[in-house]
Amino acid sequence: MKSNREPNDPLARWTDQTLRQLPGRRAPGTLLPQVMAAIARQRALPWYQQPWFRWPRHFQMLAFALSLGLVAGLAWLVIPHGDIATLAAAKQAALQSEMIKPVVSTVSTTSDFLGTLGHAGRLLVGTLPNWTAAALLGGLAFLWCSTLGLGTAAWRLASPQR
Amino acid sequence: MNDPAQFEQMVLAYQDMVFTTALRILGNETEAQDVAQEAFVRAWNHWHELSGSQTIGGWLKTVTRNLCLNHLERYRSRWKMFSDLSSEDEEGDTREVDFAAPETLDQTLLTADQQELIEEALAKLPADQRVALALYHFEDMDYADIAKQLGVSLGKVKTDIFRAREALRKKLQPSRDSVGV
Repeated sequence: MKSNREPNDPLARWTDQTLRQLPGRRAPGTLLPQVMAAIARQRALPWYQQPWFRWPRHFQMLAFALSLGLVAGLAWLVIPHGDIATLAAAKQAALQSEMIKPVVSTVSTTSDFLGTLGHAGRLLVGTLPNWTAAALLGGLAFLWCSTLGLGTAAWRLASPQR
Repeated sequence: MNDPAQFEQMVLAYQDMVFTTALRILGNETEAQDVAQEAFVRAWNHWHELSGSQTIGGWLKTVTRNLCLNHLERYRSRWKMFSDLSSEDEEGDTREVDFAAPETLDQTLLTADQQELIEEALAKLPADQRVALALYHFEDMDYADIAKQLGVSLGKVKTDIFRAREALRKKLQPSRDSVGV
């Protein structure tokens, strides 16, 4: 405690000197057991119920790779690629198979929807100057990286009681 | 890997300081105990950095103070409203309050009873006064830092601290009189 910060104020000086004489209070005897119990509870949580930054390093890397894969997959669905005729033929062939027809149908519908969204996005981006589009994409990439979305989402899904 | 036995020794060594810091700011033993617990859990989470460090006491004090301020911030609307109602029009007039016989305030050693009286008076101060007083006199913060930390005007901080000092002086005055000071 600093003293004499207000040497010309007798009340301030008196208060400072009076409070300085107060002895520290003893912590309750239950504090240590409480602290150790709280730590034990924290340690008992499985890693996936803890915040992402406390995950084991290899799981952090895996989650990061998975989230990258997810984004890459979405990009693959949205951005046109390859020979359209070949893709259409493969889709038709897949639809002929009764076993995988429902799956292919769902994926196809989702792909069409995302493709339409992507097309709209490309049209919108096409109207912007190159530097604006690059800045937007850079901003989105930065936001995505900073939120570590997949790790957070996985943590929340794994600990629904929170 | 963290060593629980070493950590327990550290808790035992610093628990009184942490609890006292929290209690002086919060004025409530239960809340102070909760804050102290949280401070030590945080210390455990940083134990690999803190273990063996000479600055652990300062680290704990800072974390405890910040936890108290966060705690108060959470309940801010509850106490700020009352304090603003009572003193928002009184900034700048603090020195006009009659202050009787400052020369009688020469320092003497406090008896155990007087210490208890002061502790009681501290706990009974309105929250805004107690917090400002504790940050100034126990945590060595200056008026401007306190105002910034609490998000109130400099004048209000000065008023609150002045009122808190006055309340303590009045509380102690009868006992001082009785011992002939």
